[in-house]
Amino acid sequence: MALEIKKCMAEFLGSFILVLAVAMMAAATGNVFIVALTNGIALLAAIFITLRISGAQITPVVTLALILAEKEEPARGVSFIVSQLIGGLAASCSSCSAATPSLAFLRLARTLHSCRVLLPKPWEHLCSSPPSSWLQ
Amino acid sequence: MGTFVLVPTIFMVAIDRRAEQYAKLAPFAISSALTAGVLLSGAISGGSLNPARALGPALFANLWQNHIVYWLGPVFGAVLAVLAYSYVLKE
Repeated sequence: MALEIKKCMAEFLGSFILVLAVAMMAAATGNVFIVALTNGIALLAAIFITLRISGAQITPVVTLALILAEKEEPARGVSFIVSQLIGGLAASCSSCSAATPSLAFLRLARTLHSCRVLLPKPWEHLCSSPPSSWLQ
Repeated sequence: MGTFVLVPTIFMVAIDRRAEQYAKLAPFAISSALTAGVLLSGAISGGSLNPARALGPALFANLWQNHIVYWLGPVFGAVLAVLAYSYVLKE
């Protein structure tokens, strides 16, 4: 069991590295060529980091393809996909707070406010104030 | 469509046992395949063939236009690539 958690953490780390590099470079330049090169180099680093631990799948679609081809157990594949998505979210949080310090969580709160229909009742009062002035 | 470039490369290089002598080169092949996939889809859709990479910035920048494309496209490409591998490339 501890080994499985280690593998999920390795997938989290690989996805974190890839998404952090790509999101920061896309926010900085927006140039497709540079973003593609960043993708390749960051994926190379992430593969070399996680290859001996979890098999270096990094992306959810690769895990999905391996499940479909019956090279990966479905239960472990689903946990890999979940940890890769959490890694991507953590990397976006990091890059957003690096680009615009102290605004990241306000942006997240604004996103939550815009879909507050989905939130349970106790969260309602947290999001009820008008958010338009938060980002100015 | 970019995923259709990435996934067969991974299957042929890292999974297939005919490529055992190239196993040390597999990470380079996979990352150059990802670069090619992002380059070919970048001009049209922004070149995001990683749903995890699409979800995070969308959540933090609160941009949700056409977000379902970035999930359905890679999944469709992956399914197509698995079909291509199992019917054409597999020995």
